[in-house]
Amino acid sequence: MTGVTAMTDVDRPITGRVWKFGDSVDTNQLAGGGLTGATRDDTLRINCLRGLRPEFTEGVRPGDILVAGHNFGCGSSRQSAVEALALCGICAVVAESVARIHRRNSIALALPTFVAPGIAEFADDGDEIEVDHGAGVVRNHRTGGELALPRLPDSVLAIYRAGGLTAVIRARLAAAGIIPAETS
Amino acid sequence: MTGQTIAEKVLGAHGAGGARVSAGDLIDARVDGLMAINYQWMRATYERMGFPDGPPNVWDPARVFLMNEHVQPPADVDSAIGNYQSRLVADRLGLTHFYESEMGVCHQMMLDYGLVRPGEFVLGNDSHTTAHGGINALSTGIGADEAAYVFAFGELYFNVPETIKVVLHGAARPYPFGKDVILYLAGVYGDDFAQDKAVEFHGGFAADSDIATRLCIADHAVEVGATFGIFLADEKTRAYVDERNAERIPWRPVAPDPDARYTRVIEVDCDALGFQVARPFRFDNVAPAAASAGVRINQARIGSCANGRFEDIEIAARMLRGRRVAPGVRCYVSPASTRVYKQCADAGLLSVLLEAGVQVQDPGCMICQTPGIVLNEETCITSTTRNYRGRFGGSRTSEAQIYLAGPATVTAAAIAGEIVDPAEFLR
Repeated sequence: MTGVTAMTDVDRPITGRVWKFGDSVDTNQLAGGGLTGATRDDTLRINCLRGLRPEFTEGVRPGDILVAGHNFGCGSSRQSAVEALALCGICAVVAESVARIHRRNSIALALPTFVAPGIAEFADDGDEIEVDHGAGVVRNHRTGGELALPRLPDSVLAIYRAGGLTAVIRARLAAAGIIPAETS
Repeated sequence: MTGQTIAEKVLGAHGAGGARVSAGDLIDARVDGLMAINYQWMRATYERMGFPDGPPNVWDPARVFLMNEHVQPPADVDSAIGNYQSRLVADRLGLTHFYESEMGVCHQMMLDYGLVRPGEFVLGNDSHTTAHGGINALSTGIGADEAAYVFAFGELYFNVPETIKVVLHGAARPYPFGKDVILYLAGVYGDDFAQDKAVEFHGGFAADSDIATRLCIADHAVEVGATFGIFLADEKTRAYVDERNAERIPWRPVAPDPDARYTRVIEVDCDALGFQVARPFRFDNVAPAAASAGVRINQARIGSCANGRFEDIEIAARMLRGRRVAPGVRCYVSPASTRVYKQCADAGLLSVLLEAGVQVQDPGCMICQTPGIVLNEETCITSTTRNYRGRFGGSRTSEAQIYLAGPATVTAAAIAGEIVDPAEFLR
């Protein structure tokens, strides 16, 4: 990912402060342009979610967690919707449900993105939550509550662990002899 | 053994060894084609991957369709560079189907050039790739990184979805009505009722409708969350496809088994439906057009992969003949492709539109985004694909009011200067 990366290992608990949004947050809200930044990444960052919550861009800090309702990321196939969240410092998304293309793009770019039914009632703005995928639970440090976190499929975890889909592509191209083997 | 849905049949035929698959299976599916649009979006992927000159290989140079249609002509240097780089990639990899500078909406260009056929499995890096379900193809949208994966290997991991059967009863209308049907479904069942599912459209209305109506409904399947939205093939499909299938590539339609298993069956009496309007800012914020009557508008738009076809522009011209766009209303019409544009010109529609005060715009995807800013003080009604907050201007125009409707309703509003039920203009 270009610019600041907020990628976090899905195998470790992710703790952060919650920004909470409602249902059907669409990709125009995540990456719909508007203000013009100095660079492409800057433009993505300063417009992300600004139309819904003007205070988000200034207030968000690296390591914050976005909580959302149903159908998060509905709309366009633009991958920049995921990049914009990462550029804002969001290190995980937990939603009631995530629209298909956005969910797949989040996997491709390795931004930890989880579906946890009940999350909209479970966490509020400003809460500190701990997303523990390994243990299959989300903990709310303010309320002491716990919410079940369904496990991601192994095939999806493999993409996260590789560091995203482009790493998987490189590895497969190398295995096929199309590009030289990785030297790491 | 129970029967199979269309999605199960097509994905099974494209999986390893053509083995039978069922809803819930996770498979690597071979594609018949990849629509790759706007190289500047994929360029970021390749730069991140360490290939600044673009993809090192292509899975099949005849089945990756590279188009730079979202930005025609390119209005900024970055877009122009993206188009230029795409030419280098197309030349280096010997891509057979490369459209460097043609204006049009990618999904209509796929149809116009016969690049997608019934029974095929096609992916594209645009969410409205579901549109080809209108001609009985299983097709859907993916992101740029996934498109890069398909570009290289011709396959992608896919969940075999459950299928919802939507039975559309009733007769086709003598004007475009697909938007109203899909808006009605969203209004009643919600904008994610088909999340991660396939939708098969059956029934008399589906069979009676023209291809443009089917394409509109399948296009909007993504607006209700569906992975695929698909119609059966019939003689209309055959005529439409064969007229465009320049390479005479053989195809075979696919139909579900009579005992296919559906997760849900929804029945709609389309004869009982009136014109529908989605109010700001959601696709499922739907009510009959009369509920929004009297809302003054500043802008009206007709076009896009949903409603930019000949039939959509013909109804606008039919309603505008001898009438004018209301003072103070900006009315934009954009044909979905160069072929559609010429069809409209040959039929004399463009002069009717121009005499009525319409701004006829180039074919392409821009009608569905910007230019054509709608300010916070303004209201727009559009037959394009989405009425999301800031759709026509971004985060600075998040209060601009955007209503979504079919082309007849949009045209009626353009004439009246306010939203009205279009029925009176159609008599």
